Amino acid sequence: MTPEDTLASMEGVITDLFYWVSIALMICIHAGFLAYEVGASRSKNVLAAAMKNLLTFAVVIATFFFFGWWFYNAFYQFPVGAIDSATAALPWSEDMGPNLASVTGIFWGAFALFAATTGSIMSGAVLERIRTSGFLVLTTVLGSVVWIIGAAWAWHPTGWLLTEWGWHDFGAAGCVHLIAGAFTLGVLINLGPRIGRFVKGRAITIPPHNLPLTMLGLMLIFVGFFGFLMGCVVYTNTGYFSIFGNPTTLSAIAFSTLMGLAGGIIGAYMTSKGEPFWTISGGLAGVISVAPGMDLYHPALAFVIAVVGGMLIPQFGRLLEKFEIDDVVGAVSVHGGCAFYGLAVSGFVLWGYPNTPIDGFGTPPDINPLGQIGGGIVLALLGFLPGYLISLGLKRANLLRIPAEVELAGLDLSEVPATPYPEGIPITTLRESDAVLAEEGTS
Amino acid sequence: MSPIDVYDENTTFVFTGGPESFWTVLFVLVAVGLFAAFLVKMIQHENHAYAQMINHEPVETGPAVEGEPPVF
Repeated sequence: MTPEDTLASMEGVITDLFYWVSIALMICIHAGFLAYEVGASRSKNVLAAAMKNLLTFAVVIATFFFFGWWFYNAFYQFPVGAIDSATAALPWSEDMGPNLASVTGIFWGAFALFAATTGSIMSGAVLERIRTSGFLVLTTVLGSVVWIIGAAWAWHPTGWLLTEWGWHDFGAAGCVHLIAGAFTLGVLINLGPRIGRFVKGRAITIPPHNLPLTMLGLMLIFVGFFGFLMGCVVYTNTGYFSIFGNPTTLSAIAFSTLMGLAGGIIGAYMTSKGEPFWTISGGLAGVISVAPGMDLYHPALAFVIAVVGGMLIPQFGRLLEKFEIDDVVGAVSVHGGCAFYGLAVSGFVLWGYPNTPIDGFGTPPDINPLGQIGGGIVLALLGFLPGYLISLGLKRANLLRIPAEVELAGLDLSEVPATPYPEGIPITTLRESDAVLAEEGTS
Repeated sequence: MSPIDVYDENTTFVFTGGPESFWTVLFVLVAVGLFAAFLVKMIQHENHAYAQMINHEPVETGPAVEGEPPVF
């Protein structure tokens, strides 16, 4: 074996290992979403919430194998551009199974986890009143069709948003978070709020049954984000690149991710007055806000952008409440709102950064505000329209929402043949309370 | 179903049936069919469970479980 052969062989081995670790870490996102949504539900719906999350993972992974990967390979030019070459992504082709000369499986795996993450973003927003079957249809469309078409356009080495408009979005703010947030908004409009969430136009807070579990879930999502962002890097034996072809390093991403997390938490604390749910969601908001340019931002700038992103999410949440939209976990605000904000900001801050030449496509335009904002609008529409229209169809077929009687009694009693807390939830009795009660009893 | 006779330096795909074969296409079709059946089964389960609940009938039949609340 020549040194060149050895090098090529090792590139395959390390590529496999690199994305294998990324996939494993991304599963933490799903553990986090599960804990987050179980905590955010009332105790009558916790197992249904957990089952919905688990099934999201299963159906998106399966359908991403059946047809999702094909969309990525077929749709990178507008509206379609590679149907012939995409036959290699069909599930019976030679690359879509054990093949000693191919690393397609590990890339498919990483993208499948991105897909499942995108599908799960919607999951928390629709808690406690959506039919699980209707939800799984929607999450299949979101995770295995819509987002991946968006990824083909906006997160592909020759996607048309890059080649035509100079698009740059290192951390997939547009194709993952913005599309998921916009799709979710379309679904929420047709789904309607939980019973009792709005009374005579006034928003009523429905408290989560276990806020500490929700917070732990978000911490797990933070861990998973390191896998997600690791998967956003293209590993080669000559170094790391973004998916758009510019060289980068994991060091760059470490700066922005951590400063984004920190800034988002601090920003959300400030405008929510320390409300725990919004404050910890601020960490996600911060990372999503800096995602488009996290390979290029100075850490202090990333912090500033993230602080503003964190400050915005409670405001986005209040705005949605004015329209009586019940987004249980703030998914539209955190993912949709901050992704669009982050893309718009990146257009100005990164204005003039060059893109790298692409074989057969020349050199794309420099990064610019119109490209970033215009691309954001395209992706928001790509998410919103199918979300709204398909959920409208499901609503008319009576497959979108559970009956009111079932909603009032709780999904765990009907759909899930098990009980989450058969012995009840322990309540701490304070010594002071005991003393007061004892005193009242004797007086 | 082996698509190879020997492992050598030219071996590429090794999966059961090989690419674009009858067996591989059949496996894919059966897998998609099972997925569709799962969705149909879930819709049937939901319709049954909701109807039973609205009619104040047990959703599941079977022995009582210690600590569980009475059947709805």
